[in-house]
Amino acid sequence: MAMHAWRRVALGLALGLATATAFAGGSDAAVPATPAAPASAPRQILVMLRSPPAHARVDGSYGAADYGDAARTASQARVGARLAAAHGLTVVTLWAMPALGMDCIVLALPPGASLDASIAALQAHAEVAWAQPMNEFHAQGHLDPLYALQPAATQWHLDDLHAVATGRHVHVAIIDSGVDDTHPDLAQAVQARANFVDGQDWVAELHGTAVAGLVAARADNGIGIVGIAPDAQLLALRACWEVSPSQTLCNSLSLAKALNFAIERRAEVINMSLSGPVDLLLGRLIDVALAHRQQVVAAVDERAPGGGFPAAHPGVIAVADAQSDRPLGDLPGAWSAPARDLPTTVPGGGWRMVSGTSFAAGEVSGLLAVMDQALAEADRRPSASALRLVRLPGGGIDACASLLRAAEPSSSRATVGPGCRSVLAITGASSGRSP
Amino acid sequence: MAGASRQARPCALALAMLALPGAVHAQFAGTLGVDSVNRYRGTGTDDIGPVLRASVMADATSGIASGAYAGVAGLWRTRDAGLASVDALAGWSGRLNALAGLAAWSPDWGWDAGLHRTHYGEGSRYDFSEAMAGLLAPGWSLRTWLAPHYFGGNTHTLYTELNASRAFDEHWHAFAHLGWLHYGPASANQSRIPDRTDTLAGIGYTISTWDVRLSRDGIVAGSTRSDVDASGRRPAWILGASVAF
Repeated sequence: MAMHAWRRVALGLALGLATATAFAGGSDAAVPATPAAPASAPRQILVMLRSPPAHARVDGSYGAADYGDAARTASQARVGARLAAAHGLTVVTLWAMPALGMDCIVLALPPGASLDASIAALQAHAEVAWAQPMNEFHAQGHLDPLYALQPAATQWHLDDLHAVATGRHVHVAIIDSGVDDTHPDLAQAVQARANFVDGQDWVAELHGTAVAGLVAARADNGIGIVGIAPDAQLLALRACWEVSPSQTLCNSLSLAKALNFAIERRAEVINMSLSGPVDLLLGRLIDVALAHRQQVVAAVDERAPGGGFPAAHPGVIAVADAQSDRPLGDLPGAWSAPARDLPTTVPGGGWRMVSGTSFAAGEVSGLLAVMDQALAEADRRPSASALRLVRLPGGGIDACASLLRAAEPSSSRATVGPGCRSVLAITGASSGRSP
Repeated sequence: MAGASRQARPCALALAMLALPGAVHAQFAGTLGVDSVNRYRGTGTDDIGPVLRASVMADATSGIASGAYAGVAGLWRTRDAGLASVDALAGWSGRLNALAGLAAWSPDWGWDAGLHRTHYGEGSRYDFSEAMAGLLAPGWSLRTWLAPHYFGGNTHTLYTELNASRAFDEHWHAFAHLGWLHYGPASANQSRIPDRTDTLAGIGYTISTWDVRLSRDGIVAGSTRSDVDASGRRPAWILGASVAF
């Protein structure tokens, strides 16, 4: 009888192998070895697949609930291949999104196919959580080859801020184009870098390097500029690519991959100096980040209705141009910061002037990193800095008062420098009291 | 006869799940692989040289909150092409954030529970069953396995394991395992078998659906059963490769 039971087991194993192997043939044929170039992305669909919960394995491995393991990838690739074949689409790539408990498959439409109809058809499958277009995002700001002083140095009294905190031990994720981590003003500022742009190798680019410099350019090294948080650690996440010196693009998938990375690494501050259409996938990931008490900073797009996405997403710290005619535009809850003629780092070891809300967002990310350090040293829960920002009329930020609110009781008005003291006297703002 | 029927029950459950035609959005995953030596929880179960592995697992879920899973795996000796063992595992797993009061938890935290059965091809006296429950989080898992007759013995055992893994980039990852085997009270006229602790640590390289691993395991505290031979008691290097389909 035991032998009969054993034969049934062996037969079942053989049948199971045969079944799964038949599925595997489809996946191999449908998944190209080289992902499509990101620049050809506008007619693609993101399909979010419900991932089965992780569990113990029977293959002899102890396992640690890893997403992205080869067996799971192969399984989801088969599902993607089946969906693609059913609707005349082509699988472009597959990516696990453990922060959402889902896997993302990118499908390309053939010429002439209706985007809306394909999305509706895909959403009818029970294993599909949702499908959406692959949106395109644009980095904000205009790069201007001029040179001047750093406005934040005087307007935010950087010297006085840095006497209290410099962003030490705080991680800021820069989701942008490639950061030049060999720039002498960014020496040892980049703790980790990752490239999420399919089909392209890592490259240092203008926009990402400029934002990174404003956040965390090293102080007292005798060169260049001083970042708002000169001791912060950067996660340089390349999710955008430079099309031309004046145009930097990103898409839903590259941004989602980078956001997922930032969430997993628990970056206290996530900077997104970009704007595009409302995106369900990115919105869900931002919600996860906010639930983890991570702070998401985004640039306001003055040309977009409502300030653009992700700036207008609930919970995101939207940053506008303080010198704009209507800095807060359609976003009354936004903050404003210096955004014009900002000297910062550029690839190749140089510096130049930049303007735009992208860079204003970088400054606010730096300020939040400084405040996070102060909060941590005051033995209070970090990553709540945004709640302590002190607003000036017009949406500007009183950096001195904000930092003091974060730093109390380890710092007080008496400990800040003369610049901050004079500002506090004029505005009446002080720690624990918002104007 | 009744005992054989009980032994076959977890296997039958696993196979029934695999056989379900279009079960609630069933997803399949399988592996084929080779290991330089066969090791199990810090010891060599047999001096049989390199072994071939094949496994198939199926997930049946109607959503992402929880679902059933089942799988079978076979282990073959390369020296004589004989079947060494068959494992079957079936159970249920879910995400913690689907539980009341835990909605704010990240979806990559989860739990699993299941029944495991091992059958040895030429030594069915060592066959045993286990019940398992575990907690899973990004990069680690904690599980405990209760076996009424571990390796056919007369005493029950509780095996608790902590597993961890860390990806360095899209290819390289490291993994580690710490296990503690506790034997229950011995039967009359027998001495209690001492507890033991085993470890495993290694690195892996993944490209596409291929995975190559190098690891070392061994007993770091306690001793093995007397019927484990000398080679099986020594720590060992394990070089393995597998492909998923």
